Amino acid sequence: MKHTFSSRGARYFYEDIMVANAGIVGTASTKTTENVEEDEWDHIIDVNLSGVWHAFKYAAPAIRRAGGGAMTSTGSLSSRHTIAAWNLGAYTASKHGVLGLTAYFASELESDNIRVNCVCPGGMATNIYESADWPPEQLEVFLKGMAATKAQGRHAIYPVCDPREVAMAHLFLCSGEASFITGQSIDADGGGFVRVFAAGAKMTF
Amino acid sequence: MDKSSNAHQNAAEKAKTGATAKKAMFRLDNKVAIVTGGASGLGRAVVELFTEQGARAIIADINDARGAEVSEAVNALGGKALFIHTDVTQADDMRAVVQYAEQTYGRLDIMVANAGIVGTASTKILENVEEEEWGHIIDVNLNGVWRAFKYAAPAIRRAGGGAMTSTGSLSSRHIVSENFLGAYTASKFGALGLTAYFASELFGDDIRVNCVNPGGMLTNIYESAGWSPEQYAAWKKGLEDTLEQGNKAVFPVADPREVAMAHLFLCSDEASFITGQSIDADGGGFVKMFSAGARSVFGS
Ligand SMILES: NC(=O)c1ccc[n+]([C@@H]2O[C@H](COP(=O)([O-])OP(=O)(O)OC[C@H]3O[C@@H](n4cnc5c(N)ncnc54)[C@H](O)[C@@H]3O)[C@@H](O)[C@H]2O)c1
Repeated sequence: MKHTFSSRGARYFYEDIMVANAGIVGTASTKTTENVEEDEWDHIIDVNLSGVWHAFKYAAPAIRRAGGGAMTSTGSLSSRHTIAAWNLGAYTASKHGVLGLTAYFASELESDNIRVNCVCPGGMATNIYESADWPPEQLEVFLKGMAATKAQGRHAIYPVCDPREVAMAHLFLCSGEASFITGQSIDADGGGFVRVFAAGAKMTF
Repeated sequence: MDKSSNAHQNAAEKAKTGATAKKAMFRLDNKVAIVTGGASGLGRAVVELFTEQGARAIIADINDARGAEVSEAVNALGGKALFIHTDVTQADDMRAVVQYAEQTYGRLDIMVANAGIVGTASTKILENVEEEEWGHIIDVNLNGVWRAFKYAAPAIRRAGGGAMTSTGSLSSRHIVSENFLGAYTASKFGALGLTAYFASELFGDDIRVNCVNPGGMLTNIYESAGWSPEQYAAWKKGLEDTLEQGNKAVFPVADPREVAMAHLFLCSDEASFITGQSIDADGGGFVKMFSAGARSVFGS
């Protein structure tokens, strides 16, 4: 194995980083997709999808100048699945787009030693629903629900985590340890997707 | 080997000079891991990396000479590795190695179900594969993962939770119809489905179960194809040349250590919210190869 490490030096030795993480659910996520207004649609696509494009587009030349590095985006379970529960039509479109865009960027930047990957979180206790512009009472109920689920820990049907647990996947993908991983996505959902589906199946059958 | 020994020594030195000597210094401190197929290739890289990170590793493999070599190499660097002759097609062997871990170290935290072959099934089209060739590759690559997880799960549950990973392949999700990989593809699709399903059964026990899908790696796996020495030498030379090209190659070849990193991530507490998933570690090779095909078909 004489080549063992020479090639690793050639591949992605430097790690300079862009994390395209900004995202909203927006007011688009308060109504069915056919009732979403033009400006609501544009806004969520602009932040969630075009925002990732901008981040990668402007970071790529700088990371290339640095000799290579890594970029990650934050997708969602809605990047690969249709979770038809919270008016997530526009959100789902934006997040599917993020995943496709991220993988495509990876294919264009391989020869520049820039790896590009996506992290798809499941339940996380954050402030994202502030962007839905709900009445304060509704937001409060929602946040209480999240906190209660989080308190159940790993054993909740749809577990809610501390964002740090998901940030670990960004750390891994942006570090030299992921030197052979590009164009991929990692779901960090504590198994929630499979368990929610199983709960539905149990109810049905 | 040279660099990995350095890493080991660096790690050991850091441990000595570290101010918080009592605290966990490495990501797998106090963990006990079994690695099937740990005597060669990716499994060997996993054993080296895990022991550098503080784990005690048991090499579960049928290759006694290589198993002894790996455990000696790790132990010479201050790591803790043991070889136990284990055939993943034998339930008794799997049961015994898990028992050995618990008796020797008092616990089992991690199972890496990595042993795999291409076998003589991978030298011919599917309709020409013989019953025993089919039976053997499925027994190692698919049933072997089932046995590893089946016998490890109760022990890891007794330890209060832990992590298991399997080694899939790009052939776990794609049809790479170049090298007579029909039976291999069936075994690896199966291993991925099995791994994700196991995860769903073990949610409640705090045992995470994930899969790593390598792309190109330079290992000894084609020894199992029973090729002629010339054919084997030509194949190996091709891989070495590709490894030399780094990520400029259309289908880049990894040092197994780069893929072992994904096992490390998934088996460490850093992946605490990740279960039932798989990570492709292929250096973008699948997309690049498909794109090369597309360009040749449609003109660039
Ligand atoms: N090399 C590649 O390009 C590649 C690509 C994708 C996936 N993989 C997968 O990686 C894993 C590791 O393979 P590798 O490439 O390191 O090959 P390798 O041949 O170098 O190592 C595999 C090890 O498994 C052991 N083994 C075989 N049959 C066994 C059995 N019945 N019981 C216990 N151990 C057994 C072998 O003795 C060997 O030490 C396999 O699951 C393989 O399918 C390899």
